Amino acid sequence: MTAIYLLIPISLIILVIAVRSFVWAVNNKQFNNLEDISQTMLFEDTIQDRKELLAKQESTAKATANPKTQNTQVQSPSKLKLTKESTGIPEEINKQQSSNHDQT
Amino acid sequence: MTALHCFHCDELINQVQTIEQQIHGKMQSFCCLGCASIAGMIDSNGLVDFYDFRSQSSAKANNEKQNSYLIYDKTNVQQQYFVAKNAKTSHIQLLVEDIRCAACIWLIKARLSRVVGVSKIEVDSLSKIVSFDWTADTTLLSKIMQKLDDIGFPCTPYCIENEIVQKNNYRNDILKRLGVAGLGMMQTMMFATGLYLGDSELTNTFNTSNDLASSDRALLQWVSLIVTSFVLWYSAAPFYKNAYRSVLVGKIGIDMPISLALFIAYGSSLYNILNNHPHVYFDTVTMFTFLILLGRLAEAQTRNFLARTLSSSKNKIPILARRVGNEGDAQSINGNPSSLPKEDWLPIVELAKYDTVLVKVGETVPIDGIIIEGDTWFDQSFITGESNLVVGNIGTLALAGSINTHAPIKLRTENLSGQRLIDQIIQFKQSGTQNKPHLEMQLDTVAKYFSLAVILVASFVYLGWTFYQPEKALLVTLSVLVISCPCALSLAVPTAQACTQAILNKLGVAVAHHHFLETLLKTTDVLFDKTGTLTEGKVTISQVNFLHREQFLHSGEALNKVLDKPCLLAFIASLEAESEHPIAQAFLPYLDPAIKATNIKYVVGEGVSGDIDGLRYYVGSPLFIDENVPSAKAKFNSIDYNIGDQPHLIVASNSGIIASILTQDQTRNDAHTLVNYLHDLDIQTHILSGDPSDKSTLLAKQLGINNVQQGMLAQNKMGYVESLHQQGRISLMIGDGINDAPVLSVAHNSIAMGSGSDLSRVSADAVLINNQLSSLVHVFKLAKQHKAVITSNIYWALGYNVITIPMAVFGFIPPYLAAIGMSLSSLVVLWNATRLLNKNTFEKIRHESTKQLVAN
Repeated sequence: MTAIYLLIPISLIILVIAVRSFVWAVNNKQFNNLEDISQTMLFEDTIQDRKELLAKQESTAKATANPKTQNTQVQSPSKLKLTKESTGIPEEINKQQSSNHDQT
Repeated sequence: MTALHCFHCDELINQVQTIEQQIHGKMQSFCCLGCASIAGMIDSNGLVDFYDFRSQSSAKANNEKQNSYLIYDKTNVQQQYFVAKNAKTSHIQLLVEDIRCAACIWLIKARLSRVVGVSKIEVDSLSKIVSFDWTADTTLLSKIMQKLDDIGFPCTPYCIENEIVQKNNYRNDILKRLGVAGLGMMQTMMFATGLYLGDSELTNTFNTSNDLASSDRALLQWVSLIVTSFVLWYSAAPFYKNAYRSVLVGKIGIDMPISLALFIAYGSSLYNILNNHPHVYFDTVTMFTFLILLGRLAEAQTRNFLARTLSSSKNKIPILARRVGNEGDAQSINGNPSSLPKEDWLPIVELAKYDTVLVKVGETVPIDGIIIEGDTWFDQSFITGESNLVVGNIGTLALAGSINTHAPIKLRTENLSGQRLIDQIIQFKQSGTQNKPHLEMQLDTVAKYFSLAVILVASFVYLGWTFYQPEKALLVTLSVLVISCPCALSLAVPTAQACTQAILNKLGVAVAHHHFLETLLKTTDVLFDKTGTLTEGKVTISQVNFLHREQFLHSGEALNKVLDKPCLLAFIASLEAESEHPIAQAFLPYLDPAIKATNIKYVVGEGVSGDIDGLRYYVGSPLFIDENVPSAKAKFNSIDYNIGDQPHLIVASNSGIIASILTQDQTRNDAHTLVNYLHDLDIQTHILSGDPSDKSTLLAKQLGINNVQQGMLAQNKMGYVESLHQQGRISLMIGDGINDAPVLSVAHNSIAMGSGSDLSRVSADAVLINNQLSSLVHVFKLAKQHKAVITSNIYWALGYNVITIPMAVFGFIPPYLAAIGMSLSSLVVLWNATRLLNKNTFEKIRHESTKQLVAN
């Protein structure tokens, strides 16, 4: 039972940390708006995924020099710059846009 | 080909005017240039993902008005709105009304985060407020606002209301205390598990050998003591502060037994530790604190929610005015036109008497003033709650808060900021809140006597035992205190409250004050506002009578349309398309893009005329038609057409009268249900209307309401309710306008409509979010069940004490049984409250009310 003389003080330290971080979170408005954050955080993930997919595609495009995949890069110069930030929807992902593409 | 929808706003595209633009490498169609430019802007910023993320279509671009944000670069204007954090940084709040879904939030955040000088961006979709820290000398504020406008979010600076800040701070305070209590509760319960399982009496009973070494027990007890002391000191502080305050005033409320319970449980545990007795009740102390705080948080949350859902710029009185001069220098203006002072935006607090203020169409009048130029109609629904437009001519007083709907006007300031009618109403509201009568709650009464009884019994027991067996006196007194601990009693109401709240949310009713349901049952008089409460508050078309159909047939041949009722309404709609008049709004649903009116001319207070397909049409009052339609002259007589008293609109073309149209502010279809239900309960009903016309009397007759008061100002309504109070009546006021705010705050109980003004909603005790009056029938029924549960909870708590206290007094109850009994009695109370949540209960309420609806 001597273990509790070590473990209980540790649990108390953790308790103090938990209380302080909770109070910090409330004071920093982390709990002011619980509805919106839960939804928007997923968008960032999606964009991240897309960026990775795009990067992959670009690298394969460079490797194979396939004219079809280069298509995604033939855009106005301003867009080329911006793909670095967040854009660039590969056609495979966006069904709606790809179907529009088929029509045109 | 299938119908095309706009890529940005999803509206149907008029095939002729389709605009195509390349968005992210694909051709997309747009309904207008505005939408196309927004989408282009979003795309060029690399934020085109927005269109994938959004779950709702965006607002259509405003093509006519170019918002100018330049005025917000002026320092005196900025001072009105923004809180400076330090020399350079200030906290900015913008109201963005077009925030519709999570994707909008993402878009705004992503766009603003790229602007230099903007940090800590927060977007709240409920209050539609975007807030951020802005460093002054980096990007001009007007540029930042323009950037938001460019991606489809027009914005206005927003002066955050104190109510929102206060309610948010209160909620966060409770949340912190709750969090601390919760964490402390988990810890003490963990230690308590060890203490209970290792309890010597327990292990002896069950013949196990888990007995704790006394040093280990002491450790667990001391650690629990530390944690609990912190919880008691921090989380439970509001209870004994309130209790102390209530004792000073001589009114003992529910916080008294709560504090008593906490101190009894904590004190006796402390005594036991110091005297080496094995039993401590720290787990009870922390759990009890946690549960009570949970109830308080639920209430704070509802209030916070209500305060946040306010804000719409239309319901806001501007704090800026467009000053164009002062009466004093009018002479020089006339003499020398070139010295005309430039249009200048000023905060209204800086306006002086006799300043001239310009108010354009669609703007809200910022200050009370006499009209010195222009004729218009005012929408005063914000101030009076009445939807009919009021005519404003030269010499009439325009009230701050009314919306200028037709023509630009110039005002000479009359009442300066702080003395405006609207300021007076707000003052009335505040005095109403102070004078609000409070009925004593059932529990408060019980709590008062119970607290006194516990203290008395405990002192008698102690005295008695000191004579009999002094060494046992303290122990027995402690067990009496533990047994009588008012935990169960204190939980009786909050637990029932939490369960009722859940059902109320489903019914679309938000209750902001805990006394609401109990007071509701005592109601003797229900007072209704008329417009917006008993009626929908918007005009609809109730009747169309063709008087000379042939005129219409003759005129419309060329359009190749079936000339029936909808077609006629579409004609009128195209004439009224640009008008903000509530009657014009009634025609809006009938708008047909194929019919276009030209040369439209409004005559304030009378009617409108315009050309459709080469023929001139007139819509307006009989007088207007009389004056303007040559062929109708002398021929027109309302009696000939059986038109009666009600105001009719007459439609005519150049060749003669076509039809008469009757418009009406529709009575809410469930007003009948509610009024009948109230009469069944023997509750008196009243209408307090700001409308001076006889409409309220008619409505009262129609609904069977007993008492009608017309043309009442905000202070009259307040006086009426106060006189009812003096007769010992218990009032329930239901209203929606800003003029109802004072009476809502003074009535015993009040309900605001969800569609009502911001001020009325923060003044009321409850808000009908779904605007369904019939929900109130359910609320009345629920209130009855709520009370039944509270009563049974109180009886249980008292009954339990009546049986166990005498046993404890004579020393029959060992301390560990006392502890178990204390927890069990609280659990029973909890279980009893959750009976409210029982599905059957909710279904039963619903079933009964539908039955009643059918019966009616």
